Amino acid sequence: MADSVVTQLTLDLIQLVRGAERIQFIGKAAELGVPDRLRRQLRSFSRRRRMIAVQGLALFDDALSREALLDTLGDRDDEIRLAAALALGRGDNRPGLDELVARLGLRDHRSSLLTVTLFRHYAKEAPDEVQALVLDTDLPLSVRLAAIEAQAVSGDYRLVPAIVELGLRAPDDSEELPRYLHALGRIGHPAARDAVLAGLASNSMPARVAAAGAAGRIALLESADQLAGLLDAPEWWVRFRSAEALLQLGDTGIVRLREAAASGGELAREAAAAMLAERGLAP
Amino acid sequence: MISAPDWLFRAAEIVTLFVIACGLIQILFYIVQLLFAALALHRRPAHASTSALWDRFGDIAPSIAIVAPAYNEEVTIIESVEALLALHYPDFEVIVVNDGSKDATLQTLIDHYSMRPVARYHDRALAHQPIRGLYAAPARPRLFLVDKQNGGKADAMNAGINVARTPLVCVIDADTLLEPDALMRAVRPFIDDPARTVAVGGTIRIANGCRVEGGRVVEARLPRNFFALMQVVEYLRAFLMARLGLSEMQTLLIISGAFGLFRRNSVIDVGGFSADTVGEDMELVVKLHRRMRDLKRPYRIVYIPEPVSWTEAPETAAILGNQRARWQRGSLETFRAHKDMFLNPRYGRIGLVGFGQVWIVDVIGPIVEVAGYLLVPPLWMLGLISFDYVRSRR
Repeated sequence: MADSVVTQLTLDLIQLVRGAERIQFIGKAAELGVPDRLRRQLRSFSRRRRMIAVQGLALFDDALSREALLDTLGDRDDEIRLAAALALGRGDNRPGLDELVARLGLRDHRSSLLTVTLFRHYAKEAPDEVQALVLDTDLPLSVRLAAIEAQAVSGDYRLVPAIVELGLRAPDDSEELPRYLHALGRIGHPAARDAVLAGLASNSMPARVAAAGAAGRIALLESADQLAGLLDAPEWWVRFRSAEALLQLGDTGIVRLREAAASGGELAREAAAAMLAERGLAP
Repeated sequence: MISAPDWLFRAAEIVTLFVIACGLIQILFYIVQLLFAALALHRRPAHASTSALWDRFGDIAPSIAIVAPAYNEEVTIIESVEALLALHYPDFEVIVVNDGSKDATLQTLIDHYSMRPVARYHDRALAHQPIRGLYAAPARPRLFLVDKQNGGKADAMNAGINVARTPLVCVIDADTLLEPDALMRAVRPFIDDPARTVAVGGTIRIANGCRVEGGRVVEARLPRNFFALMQVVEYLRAFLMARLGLSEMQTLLIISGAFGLFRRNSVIDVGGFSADTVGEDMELVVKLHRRMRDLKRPYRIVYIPEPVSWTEAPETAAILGNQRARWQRGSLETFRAHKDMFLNPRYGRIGLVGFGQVWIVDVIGPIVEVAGYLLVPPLWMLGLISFDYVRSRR
């Protein structure tokens, strides 16, 4: 059987299994020389073949493969560099995040959602490095937002004051304000109060949607009146998220929804009645 | 050769030169497309297994609502819905829109899945025929059914998009057979470039002759029917050359109605699918281009070369003729509705290359081609075709 077929077949089999079986398959693949072939494949002219090699090497946690992946951070293709970074980020001996950001060219390039995955690997073991990215104002906004999102998923509360500050300072119509509010909702810490209440009063539709979502997740009872007011907003998403948030507030929110369903404006009446009916809470 | 006045010779020469020029421009377009398609194929991502895709995107993949319009599908609807519900994707919902079917499509679904009427607060941004009822299946939480008055496919898709609550919506035809990992593959551009990607299309292949079980193509085979066989070649050319090349040039003007993944907000911003045209799929993509260009926002409308779905091709001349007449009409209607974009510098490459191609291939292409054949006898009679030259070249 041709070497390339053995390599591809082995990689496919490894992807199919988990746990002890996967470890066994990886051991067998190493005995068959698969990592050596993948390392050679990294020098291919074809972008596809290099990408397959990087994704394959991610499965082998040996020094030579790691060395090869580190070299690949200098590849001419940005997606291959990102794939190599993701592979390295999963391992135990990961390079510094600052070094990765520099070598990936994230300071100059567009950002993929995969950067969130990359930062998540670091958020658990090296949260300080992710926090440093969030606070580095020289970085593109997309990279800082990806770092915030990764930190939010990890549930690390230490960044909350910094994100609240960023949220309060962000211009009303900016792209980043909803993302800050979304991250605050994801973390779900009550210290986000000021930014969330300010977000609910924003003129920006995405910001109000994100703020309503955050108010519900944090169960911010103080926001009930503002949320009830937003049930009459012209935008459907604002009305929907506000009604959803009111339901998340429990009795306080349900009372507001029932009031809106009975005596609110036309849009508020429809939103409140439909959401109550949807959850089986219609009077 | 017959004798004729000079002006007739002059007119015949002009018409002939026009026909030849159109043909050459078309060929030039195709060569450029081929080069860009080759570039795109060279740069395409490595084909990954479903489990590898899940490993990579599973935790960041945005949620998707699949909108499946159904009209008189009582025989196949359960099989189709089962196949949709079994797709490999972390977070998705199937919204079946019963577009006022005259058969028992609605009751078949209700009975099979024990569906119950429910309330669901939904958007009303897109216009469509009134909704008669909304149904959910307690045992199948991913499934949702919209029953509405008949209004056509575009109308049904608008209703489904209104009811959807996800950032992405996938619109398909009722008879589309999806690959199990179609969503995982099609979502990739939204992951790679989330800020700019607004729509993604994928390769559609012909299901005639294939072995289909449970709404899935389990073995790809060539059709035995001649018309379907020719369309296999045609589809490969259309998707792997034309659409791939146009996507690489960022001038893709159509995402097939059989499978398209769209950012929901962008579709709503342009008013959804137009119910007054038979080319609603092309028209939607053109509206997306127009809006993003008008707003001067960077954006991408992308085609991925991986096969994502299968469709039944017409097997008789009459049905094929009807389908092609509908496609042609759709192109012409879209061109007419957006003719101000044609060669308009404000719309950049869309106006120049995208609409240029539609004009040369779809608008005047058929006329020129037929004229080319019809002109051969009169041109020969005028002595403007040299058969001696043709013979000497052999």
